[in-house]
Amino acid sequence: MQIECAVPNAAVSGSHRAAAGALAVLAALTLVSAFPAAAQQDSAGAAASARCLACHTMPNLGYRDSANAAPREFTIAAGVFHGSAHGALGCAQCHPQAVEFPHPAARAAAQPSCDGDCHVVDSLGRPYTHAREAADLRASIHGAGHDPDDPTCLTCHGAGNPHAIARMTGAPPAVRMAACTGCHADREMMARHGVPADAVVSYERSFHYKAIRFGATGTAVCTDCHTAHHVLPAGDQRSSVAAGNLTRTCGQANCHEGAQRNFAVSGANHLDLRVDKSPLLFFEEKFFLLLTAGTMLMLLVGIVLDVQKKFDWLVLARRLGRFAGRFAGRRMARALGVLRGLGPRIAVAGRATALVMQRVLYD
Amino acid sequence: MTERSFVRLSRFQRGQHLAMLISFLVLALTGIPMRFPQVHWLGAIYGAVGGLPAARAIHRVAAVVMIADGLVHLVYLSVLLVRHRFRPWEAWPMLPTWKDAQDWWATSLYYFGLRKDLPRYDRFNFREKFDYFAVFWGLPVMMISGLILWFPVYFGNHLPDLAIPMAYIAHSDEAILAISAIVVWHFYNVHYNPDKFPMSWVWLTGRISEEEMIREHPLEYERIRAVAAERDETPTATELPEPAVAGPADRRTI
Repeated sequence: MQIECAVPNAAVSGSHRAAAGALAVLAALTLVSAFPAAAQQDSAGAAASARCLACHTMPNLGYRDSANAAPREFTIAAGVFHGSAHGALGCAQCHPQAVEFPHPAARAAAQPSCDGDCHVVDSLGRPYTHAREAADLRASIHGAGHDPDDPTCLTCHGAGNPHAIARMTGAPPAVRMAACTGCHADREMMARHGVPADAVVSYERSFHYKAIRFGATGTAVCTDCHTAHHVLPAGDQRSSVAAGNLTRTCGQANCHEGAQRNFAVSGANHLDLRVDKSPLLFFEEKFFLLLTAGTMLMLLVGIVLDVQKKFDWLVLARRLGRFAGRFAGRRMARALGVLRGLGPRIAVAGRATALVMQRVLYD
Repeated sequence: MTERSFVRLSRFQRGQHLAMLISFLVLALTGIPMRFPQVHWLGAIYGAVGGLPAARAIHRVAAVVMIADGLVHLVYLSVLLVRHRFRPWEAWPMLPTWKDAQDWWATSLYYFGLRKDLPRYDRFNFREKFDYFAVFWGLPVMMISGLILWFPVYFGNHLPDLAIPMAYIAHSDEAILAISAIVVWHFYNVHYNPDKFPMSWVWLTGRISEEEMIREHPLEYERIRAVAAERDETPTATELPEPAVAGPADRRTI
């Protein structure tokens, strides 16, 4: 593969290039020697990362793929990476093959996967892995097809940037919601997949969301009921929102403990979707709309009538009308009078014209 | 001699109105941001009372006050009925009558200039009865739907599955109706009305002036005067019976 620099100001001077190369080699040497010891510990991982970042924080580090002209960029914002959920891990956790330097092109290009074993252990000493979440995602409605719209791990964790992985547990509700609404509020995308486009709008009418809007953090967002990774439509028996599982989902600890079937299937948390399906709710909404509009219209008319009577506005209006009518009438009468005054003259003129015409034409 | 005044509301009735007034305002203020969460400045109400949990607690305390007020009124109505030996038309002067329909029609004619005078209203005219029954309709709707939303798991489990969505719609829509009616209609009748501006003081003093009595309740005024004339007395405020407790003065049986 031929590599060319993708940077607009690619005419990097020779001395710069040499300097960068020297730095890179230096960094690589120290990195390779340090790596085996760095695998287990976060601090050591961070140290190893520092060696990678010596090159990878350089601006505009990248190339344009000569095969399809796709730009590939390798610059990493160190601050963003260190602030991410993976900030304390070494680069080799996800890029084990990239430790060799110069990086073998094919290996470096290998996409890291999220379901492999990490090289760290959790607090109980077990090897840490995201394999379960990855498997759940693959088994979910989101992982079923190979549609480009299907979300990957990175769609929700890090907004597409693999070096900005964010932890969702404990994140503010708005952040946890945004992971879903990014796609589910997109009406076009939802229409493409036959998914109700009002899922987000109807949720925003629920007390779950309104409480969040006013600062609550404990009420349910999307993932609390639909799960984060194992999302399945309600019709699927395995879904957390399937009829058979709803009581358990609603009755989670710190939620609606003691919830039974009728509570769980009420559908109040996506009210609009429920209204579409239940004529009773539809008529109830229309009833209140008519009641409110009718009552208020009646009361407003009553007030306007009362006020006009108190100030005699109707009398005033009538007088004004009479005055306008009289004024217009007088003007019209005068105009008619003028016409009438002209009448004899017009008649004489007409008769004279007729006589002249008769003479000219027939005599 | 001071101006004569007439008792319109007894102390107990004023108490009922005050409880309703305070609880209504508190419920409306703490409820309306929840109805319009997208209106940013309404959220300041929750900020002022110390956040959503505090607002929720205040809303529920006010709800208990309003429900208690409603129950007290029901007891009061029963007592009136017993006192009047189970003659509802006598015991409850708020009940709509055929005269109210006639008055409504005559008032409409008057408004359009097709009649010279307003009809002669009795103690409670049709507007006042409308206000009264608006509360009679609204309070149970708000109470039942509110309790369902307050204890969703209990009521949700024991009622049909549509109960919670129905309560949700009823509570938010009826609240809008009630607030609009109060702010537009009731406030017009007791505040903005040119005859009353800035405010009718009857909710505090319980009394209205003789002039107001003649203008707005001529039938009742004449009846009281007739009773007084029979007794050959001047109907001073202190000597007048409290008709508000037991309905029109001439119908009092005890």
